[in-house]
Amino acid sequence: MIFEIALNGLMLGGLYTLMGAGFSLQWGISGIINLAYGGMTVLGAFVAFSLFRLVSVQPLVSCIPAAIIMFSLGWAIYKFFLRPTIRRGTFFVTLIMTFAIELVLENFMLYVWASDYRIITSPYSGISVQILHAEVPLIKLIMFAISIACVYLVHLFMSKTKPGKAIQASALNPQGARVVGIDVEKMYAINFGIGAAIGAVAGALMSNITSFSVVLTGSLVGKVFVIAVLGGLGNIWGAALGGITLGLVESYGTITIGSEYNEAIGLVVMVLVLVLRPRGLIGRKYWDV
Amino acid sequence: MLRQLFENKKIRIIGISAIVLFLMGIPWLITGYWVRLLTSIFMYATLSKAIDLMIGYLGYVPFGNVVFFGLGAYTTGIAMSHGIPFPLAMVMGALISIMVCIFIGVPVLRLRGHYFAVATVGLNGAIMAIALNATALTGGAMGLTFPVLPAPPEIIYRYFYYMMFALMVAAIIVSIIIVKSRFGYAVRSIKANEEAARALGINTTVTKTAIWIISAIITSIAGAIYGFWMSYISTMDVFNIMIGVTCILMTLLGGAGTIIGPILGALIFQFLSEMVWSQFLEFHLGILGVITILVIFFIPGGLVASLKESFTRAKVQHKEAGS
Amino acid sequence: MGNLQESILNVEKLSSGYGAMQVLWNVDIEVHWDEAVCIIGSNGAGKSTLMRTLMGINQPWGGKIYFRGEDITHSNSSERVSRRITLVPEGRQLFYGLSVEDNLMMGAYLRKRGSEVKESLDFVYQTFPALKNYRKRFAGSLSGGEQQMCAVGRALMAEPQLLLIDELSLGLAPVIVDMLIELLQKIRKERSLSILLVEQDVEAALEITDRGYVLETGHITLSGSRDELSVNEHVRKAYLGIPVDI
Repeated sequence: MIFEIALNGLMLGGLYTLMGAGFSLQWGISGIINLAYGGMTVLGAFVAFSLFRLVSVQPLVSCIPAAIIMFSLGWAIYKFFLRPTIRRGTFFVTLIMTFAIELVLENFMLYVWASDYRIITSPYSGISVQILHAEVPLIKLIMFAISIACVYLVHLFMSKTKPGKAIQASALNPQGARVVGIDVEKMYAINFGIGAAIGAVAGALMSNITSFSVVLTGSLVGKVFVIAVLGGLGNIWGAALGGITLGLVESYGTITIGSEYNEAIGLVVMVLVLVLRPRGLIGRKYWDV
Repeated sequence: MLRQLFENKKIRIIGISAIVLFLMGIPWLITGYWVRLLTSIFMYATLSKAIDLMIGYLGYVPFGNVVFFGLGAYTTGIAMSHGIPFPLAMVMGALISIMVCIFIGVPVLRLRGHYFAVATVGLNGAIMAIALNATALTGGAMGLTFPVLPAPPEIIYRYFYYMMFALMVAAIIVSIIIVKSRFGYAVRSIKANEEAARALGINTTVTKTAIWIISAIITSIAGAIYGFWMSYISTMDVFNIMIGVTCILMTLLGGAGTIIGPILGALIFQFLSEMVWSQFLEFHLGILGVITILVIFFIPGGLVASLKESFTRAKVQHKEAGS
Repeated sequence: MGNLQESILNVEKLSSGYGAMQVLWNVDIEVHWDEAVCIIGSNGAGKSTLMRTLMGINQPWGGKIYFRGEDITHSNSSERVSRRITLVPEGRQLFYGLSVEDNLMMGAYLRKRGSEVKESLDFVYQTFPALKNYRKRFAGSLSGGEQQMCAVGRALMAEPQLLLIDELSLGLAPVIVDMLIELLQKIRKERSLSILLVEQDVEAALEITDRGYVLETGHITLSGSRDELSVNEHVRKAYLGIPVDI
C-alpha cells in the first residue's frame, strides 16, 4: 500500500518537476513571477489535444510543436509586454501584467475550446505494467520518463552549452554579463520562452493522464508556486525536490484525507516553508556559493 | 481655474458636502438597477481603499486579501443562520479576520515582495478549501444562504446602499487619519526603507500587522454586508482571487497611495464594466486583461498622478504666459 | 583635438548621467595606441559613470566617442566588446555561481570557440598561475586579489585592444595591488594593449600610466604627463596626501 502510494507520488512528482522547472526558471532567472504560467501550460495541452483530434498527431509527439509554439509566444510576451513593464514599474506592476496576460490567454482558450474538460485517450491507455506488487499504467511510466528526460536536457543545456551559460551569467551578474558582451535582455527573453515551452510540454504530457480545462489554470499556478517555493528558485534540482515532495504529499493526502483537500495541503505546506525556510528546502539559490 | 477650485479649502468643503448630500439623496430618485450599481461601486471602492492601505502606504501587496472578504461573509452568514443579529455577526466576522491576521500576519509579514504576495494567495487558497470542505458548517459546494430581510426590494436596495456608502466613507476617513498620524509616518517609512525604519526604532512587525488588521477589518465588513445583500454566497464567489486582483487594478488605475485614487479607479472601472463589458460577455476576461495592459503602459502612476501632472503643467504654462 | 589616426580612443565633449542627474559634463579624453592613461578623481567624481558610458552600459547624453577613428557613440556593449574594448568593472562583477574557467570563457563569449580562444586562455593562465590552480572552483570562493585577477583575465579573454579598468585597487591589500600592477605592465608590453585606468589610489595609478587626467565633479580639470601630474601641487595636495613645501 505504502509502496503504491509512493510509486504514484513519484510518477506524479516527475510531471510536477517538469512543470515546476519552467516556472522556476522564469522566476529565478528572468525575475518574473509568471501568473500566466497556468494558462501557458493548459494552452500547451490544448495544442496537443487539437493536433491529436484534427491531424491525429501522436499525443507524445505533439509535445514538440507545442513547445515550439509556446517558446515563441513566451519570448514575444517577455519582449513586448514584460520587459517594458519592468523598465517602468515595480515588481508588483509586473505581477499584474502577467495576470493581465493570463486573462487574455484564458479568454482566448475559452473562446476557442470552451470550458469543458477534455482528455486525450492515447493508444497506450489501458495497458499496465507490474512493478513489484503495484500495477502502474504504462502511459504514466512513459510520461514520467519523458518528464525526467526533458528536465535532464534542460539541465544539460543550462550547464554545458554556451547559450545556457550565458543565460546563467545574465542571472548571476547582469552587469558582469554586459561587460563581456552578452545581450542580457535577449537572454532573459530566451529563458522566459524556454520556461513557457517547458510548461507547454508538461501540459501536453498532462493531457494524456488527466482531464484538463481552462478552469485548471489557477490551481496549476498554485502548484508550481508550491514547487518553486519548496525547492528554491532557478535550480533544476530544487524543482525536482519540490515536484516530488508535492507529488508524494498529494498522493498520500488523496488516500488519507481525500483528494478535495489536495490543494489546501499543498498551499499550507508552502506557507509553512515560506515562513520557516524562506529560501526553500535546499536553502540557497543555485548561484549562491 | 479648476486647480484653484481644488486648492481653496472652503470650496473644497462645500464641494465634498455637496457630493455627500447628493449621494445620500440619490437612491430616492433612481431605479433599483442604478442603486445596485452604485452599491457595488461603493463596495469595490471600499475594498480598493483597504488594499491600498497595504500597497500604497506600506508597500506590501496582499494578492490574496480577498480571504478576509470571504471570512467576513462566511462568519456573518454562519452566525446569522444561528439566529445572531447582523451587527453582532458582522463584528464576529471582523474578529475572526483579526485573529487570522495576528496568527498568520506576524510570520507572513516577515516575507518581502513576491513572497508575501504569494503567501497571501496560498492563505486564501487554503482557507477557501477548508470552507469548501467543511460542509456541515458552511454548506460546502452548495453555498450558504442568509436570512432574507422582510421588506420590499426597493427598501432593501436602499438599506444596503446606505450601509456600503457608510463603510466607504469610514474607510476614507480611516485612511486620512492614518496618513496624518504618527502611525502613518511609521507605515510609510517602512515602505521607503524597512531597515532604516527599524533602525529608527519603529517596531516594524507591530506596525505592519496593525495596518494589515485595519485593512482586514474593512475588507471583512464589506464581505459581511455583501453576503447579507446577496443573501447567498459560495466559496467560488467570496474567496475569488479575481475580486482582489480587480481591486488592485482599480487602485493602480486611480493611483496607489492617494486618498481618492482607489475610489476614482473603482468608479471608472465598475462603470465601464457595467456599461461596456455587459455587451461583450464572451470577451469579458480578455477585455479586462487588455485594459490592465493599457493602464500599465499609459497611466503607470495612476489617474490622480496624471491629473496632478497636467495641473502643474497648466500652472507652469499659466505663469509663463503671465510673465 | 588629437589626430584620429594616432589615438585608439577619442572622447569629445561627452556628457552622461542617471535619470535627471547629470554626472559627466563635456569630458574630453584621448588615449594613444599602446598608451596607458589614468583618470584620477575622488569618490563621486563620475569615474565609474565614465567607464560605464565608454563601455556602452550607460547611454551618453551628448558628445562623441571614437574608437580607432570610428564613431561608436551609440553602439551597445556587445558591439563594443566585438570591436575589442573590454572593461574590468568596479567591484569585479564575477559570476559567483560559475567556475573560474567558466568565468574566463564567458569573457570570450563573442568569439568563436577554437584554437585562438584556447591560446588566450593559456595566456591568462600563464600570467595568473593561481587561476589555473583554482580553475574548477567557484569564482565566489576566491580571495579578493584572485577575484581581481579573474576579472582582469576575463577581460583579456576578448583579446582587447583597449582595456578599461575601473578601480583596480578597490578593497585589496597594497602588496596585491603592486603585484597586479606589475603583471599589467607585463601584459601591456606582451599584448600591445592600450589601457584606460580609473583609480582612487593615485600613487598606484601614476606608477603604471604614461599620462593622466583629473576628473572632479564630472569635469576634466587637469591633464598632463605622469611626471607633470606627480609634481602638480593640486594633485599632491588633494590626491597624494603629500603636504606641499612652502
